[in-house]
Order: sequence, then structure tokens, then C-alpha cells
Amino acid sequence: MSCLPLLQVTNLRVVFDLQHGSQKRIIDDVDFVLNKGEILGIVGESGSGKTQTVLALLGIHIQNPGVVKGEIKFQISDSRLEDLSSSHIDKYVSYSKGKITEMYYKNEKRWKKSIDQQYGLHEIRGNRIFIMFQDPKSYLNPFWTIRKHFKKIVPTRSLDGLSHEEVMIEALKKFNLPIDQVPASYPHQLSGGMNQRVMIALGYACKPDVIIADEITTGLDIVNQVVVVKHLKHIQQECNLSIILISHDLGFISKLSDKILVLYNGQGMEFGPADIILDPKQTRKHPYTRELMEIFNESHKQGYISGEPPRRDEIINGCRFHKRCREYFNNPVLNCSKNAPTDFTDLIQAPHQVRCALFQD
Amino acid sequence: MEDALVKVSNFTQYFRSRDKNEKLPFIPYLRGINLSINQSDVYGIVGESGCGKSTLGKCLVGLFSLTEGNIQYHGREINEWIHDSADEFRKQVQIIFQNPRSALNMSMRVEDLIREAVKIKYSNDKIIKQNVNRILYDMQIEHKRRDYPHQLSGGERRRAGLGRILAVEPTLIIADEPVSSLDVSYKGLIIDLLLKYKQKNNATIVFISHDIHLINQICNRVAVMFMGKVVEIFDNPKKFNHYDIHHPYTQELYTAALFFKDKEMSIISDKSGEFIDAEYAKYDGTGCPYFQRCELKNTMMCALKCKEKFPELIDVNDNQKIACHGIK
Repeated sequence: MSCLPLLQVTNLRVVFDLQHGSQKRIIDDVDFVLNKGEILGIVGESGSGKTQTVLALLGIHIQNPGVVKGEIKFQISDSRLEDLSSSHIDKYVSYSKGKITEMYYKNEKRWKKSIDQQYGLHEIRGNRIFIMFQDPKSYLNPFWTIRKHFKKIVPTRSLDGLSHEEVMIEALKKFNLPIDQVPASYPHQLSGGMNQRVMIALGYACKPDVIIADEITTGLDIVNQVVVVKHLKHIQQECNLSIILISHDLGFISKLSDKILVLYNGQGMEFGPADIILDPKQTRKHPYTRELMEIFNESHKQGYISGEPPRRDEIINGCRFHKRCREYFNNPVLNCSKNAPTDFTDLIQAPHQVRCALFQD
Repeated sequence: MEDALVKVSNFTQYFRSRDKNEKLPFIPYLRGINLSINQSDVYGIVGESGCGKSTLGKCLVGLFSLTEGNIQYHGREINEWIHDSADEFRKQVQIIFQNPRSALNMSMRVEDLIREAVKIKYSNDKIIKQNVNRILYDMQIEHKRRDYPHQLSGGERRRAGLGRILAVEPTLIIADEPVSSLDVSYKGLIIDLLLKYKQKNNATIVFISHDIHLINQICNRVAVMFMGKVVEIFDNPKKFNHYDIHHPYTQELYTAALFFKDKEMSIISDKSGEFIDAEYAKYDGTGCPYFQRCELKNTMMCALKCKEKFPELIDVNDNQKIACHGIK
């Protein structure tokens, strides 16, 4: 039994180059550790960089050229941690300088594919890390039937000698989908909840190490949400999977997670075991997490956090949260607007960490 | 019995089937609905997606030509009213659509969007300007007045849309899932703004949502819908709990809502949502729509009756009506 974590992310930064030479810092310092068989929940408001974090893990960005810095270590075999970041990300940086940039723009797709193959990212995507997006209708191919999805997506490695048809039937049965109608139908013929379950069935059939679930319950009604949560828990227990859940709904996160990461404006604010973070009596807690908790438990005075969440490209000096922080408002001596609180230290040594001036020596 | 503001009686809405080989060219989306909404109510409509709650909301503002039965607003049939003077009707009844992105004109600034709505009510330039400023201030989007809708965040866009609707000063607002897919930090604000307006102008709100927990907090009368039929109506939902007598479908909604709130509830042993796929088998209009998923069907003696006859809404006690053969 190795004690190496399955996935370790340290000092992750994502920067987008804009047209006029300016830069947009989407993610600024995110760290987390994920062990085998654990569920990590990432909470934050919209625009806090939850989705960008997981896109950076797989090297798929909507906007190009994105520059990713920091370390992303993924455990390939029992004793080996492969660094997903250093090799191909250095290339990103060097290629976006000088003349080669233009060529990169033109042949973006071909260039990216060759880079991926060179550094083995294409083997990890889908096979080892499976990602589910918010809107299943845009994720599933509208021209393919569900049967074709299984045929094209499920890799031979995870078949175990069975045929695609058998694997499909087994997966659909597991998630209570009617096997006489679903395989021959197209995604638009199924309801939203069923599409979401087809996607989970696909993830189950691929047998990956990590499943990333990006806001999979928004847009579903509450009965379907319960079903999705149950199925996720079920496959996690059966296959000893690791799952990264992304949501703004604390109820959904608290139901499943072992560990929680709270994001605000592209920074990790708090990271730790779910029991400690969700415990209302715990005193060592970030003010932002505390307010989120109070809204969720309906003990909050207002019912919402006053002030606007910062925009995606807005960079705030000092502590990111100080403009909306109650503690700073009541106690302005803290100097939060000038001095940024110190970063997270080694996460394996100290599992619960808070980025706040209140709790630092 | 006091006079109701909105009266829906025996209302059935058909839509043309897309599938040409289908036996039925017209499919009923809403079946035999009876509701009465009083002045200054907050009326909640709950149900899962596809149960027809949004269709009912759209019918209440007269977006479809009605097929059977009628909807009366202030004692006057709405289709006739719209035919005679649509402007007059639209000044009184407004709807907040589910998707704020498609409800705002992308080529107008926030300020102009709101001015457009204020102009319907007032004609004096000075008063228009005052009103636009007041609404921008109320909605807390003053700093965004020169922006276009795509530059706003989800919550701001929602508030801009709400501001446009409140500018007309309607007496009946239909809010179709106004807070679904919004962050926690926004949800409370939107509901606050709606309820404040209601208090001030003595308006009526019909609140459509799938979250029974949220509905129970803000509404004073709730109708539960399933497959285009109303299966339960009850007053003062704050007094009720999930262990009170309810229609089995309401019970299921309660357990689902409680599932995310209660930490103790374990994930594997809970049974709600087990029978969800029965809805895939089409309901043909006879019998109880909930029969396939019902937990009572095996235990109750009424199983045969359930398949044949749709149960009528029966008064269980003073402020609760349930349509179920199993509950007497």
C-alpha cells in the first residue's frame, strides 16, 4: 500500500493572454490533494474558477493560449507520480513567445494533438480521468445514438473481454435505464435526468481512476438530483473511485464529500476534511465559509452575502475577500486590504488549512 | 367565499404532436385544472420537470390560445381580454421567464431596457427619469447602467429582468423558477426584492419551482402538480411537516428536499427516486398518473380503482385537498 496521493496539485495558476498585451489571471494559487477512494468537493460562486481548475488538470481550455503554471502530479502506477504539468506546460510558455505564436494560432488543433501524444496526455483523458459537464445535451453527440456513444467512447482496456453491447447493457441496467428503448434513441429524445444518468453510465463503463463531475445537478429537479447523488455514491463504493465534485450547492457537496476546497476569486480559501469544515462549532474557519454555512443552515440574518462577487479578471490587493468580509468590517485594524494572508503550506503535513489573517501566527 | 383574483376552471391544454404516426394528433399537457388565486397571495406551484408547471404559468399570462375550459382574471376571460386590448392586460399581468439571458434584448443597455418598461406606465420625462433611477437603485445595479446584458453576471442579469417587470407595476407576477441555477449568495436577494414589492403594492405572486423547501418558506398556498394534474392543494405550508398526511408524491418531494438538508439521512437506505423511470411509460389519461411510482399501491386495497379512475380532489381537512384513493 503506497501512501502517495493519487492527484496532487500545488500552486496552480492559469493565465490567459489578452489581445493588447495584458494578462488575465483566472486562477491564482490553488492547491489540493486527492487520495484513492476519496471524494473532493469544490465549492465557490460562479466566476471563482472552479471549472477552470479541472480544465487545467486535463489541459483543455476553451480560450487559447492559456498558460498553466504550477505542479499537477498524477499517480500513473503504484509507485510513480507522473507530473502532468512541467513538460507540456513549458512548451505552452515557450511557444507563445516570439514568432512561433502565429503558427500556433493557425495549426492550433494539429499542434495540440502532437503535444498531447508526445507527453501521454491523451492516454489519461477519458481513460484515467473522466469528466462530466454541466449540460449533458451539449456533451453527448446529437448525431450518435446512445449505443454508438458506448462503442466509440469506452476504451478496449476497460472491456475485460466482453463485447461493447454487453458492457452497455450492464451499465444501463445498473442505473435503472430501460434497456429496450434507450440504446437506439438519440440524446434529444431523452429527458435531462436520463441524459445525466447515461453520462454516469458511460463514466462507469470506462472504469477510470478519477471522475470529475462539473455541476452535474444544476438544471435537474430535486427528485433527479437525489437519484444522481445515489448513483455516484454507488459507483464510488463499488469501484473505489476518486471523484472531484464541483458545485455551488453546499447541500449537494456536504452529502458526498470527504474533503472540501472552498474557492473565491481564483484562490483556495480553505481546504480540509468535510467533518471539520461543515462543523458549525469549529472556530478556525474562514469568514467566507462561515457565511456560506449560515445561509445553508438558514441562520443567516440577510440570507445572502452583501456585496458583489468580483469579476473573473478583477485582481484585488491584499486578501481577496476583504471587501465583503464581516470580520474586517467590524475590526478594521486587521490590515487585510494591504497584506495578503500567507499561502497554504504542505497539505500532506497539515490537512486543514485556512487562508485568513485571523488564524495565522 | 371571497372573490378570487384568478380563477382557473376545468382547464385543459392540448398541443399538437410532433410525431406524425402517433395515434393521438393532440397531446394534453394539462388536464382538468381547477385553481383559485386570491388577491395578495403568494401561490406556489411545485412539481418535477415536465409536469406542466411552466406551461400553466405561460397559460396564465395568455401566451397560448386556450383549448378547453377557461381562465378568468378579475372575473373576465383572459383570451377575450387579450383579444380586445392586450396592452391593458399586459400592464396588469407579467411573467418572469426561466432563462434571463433570452429575456433581455442583447443590443440595449441596462438603462434603456428599464426605461423602455417605465415608458409604458408614465409619459412625463422627469418622472420616467426618476423611476429609472429608483429601480436601478432598488435592484442594486446602479453601477451597471451603461452595460449591455452580456457584460452582466447571472445574478445581475436576473435583477435587470426583474427590474423591467417591476417597472410596469403589475398586480399579478408569475415567477417561473426565478432562483434555479443561481448561487446561494444571490438567491436570498432576489426573493427579498420580490417579496418587498409584494408588500408595498399589495400584488399577487405565483411562484413556480421544483424546490418544495423554498416554496414552503415563502408561500401561503401550495399546489402540487404531477403529469399535468393537480394532485394536492394546501394552505399555510409552514404548519405542515413531512410526517403529516400528504399525497404520496408530495411525500416524495419532501423526502427529496430533506435529503440535502439533513445530514443524518443515509444515502443508500433512502428509497426516494427509485421508481422514477415509470414515467417513461406513457400515461394514457385514465387512472391515477402517479400509480406506477406510488409506494401505496402494493399495500392499499384500492389498487384496482387507481388504474381505472382518476381520483378527485377531496377536502381532507379545512385547508388541505388531496386527490388520492388511498387517503380518506
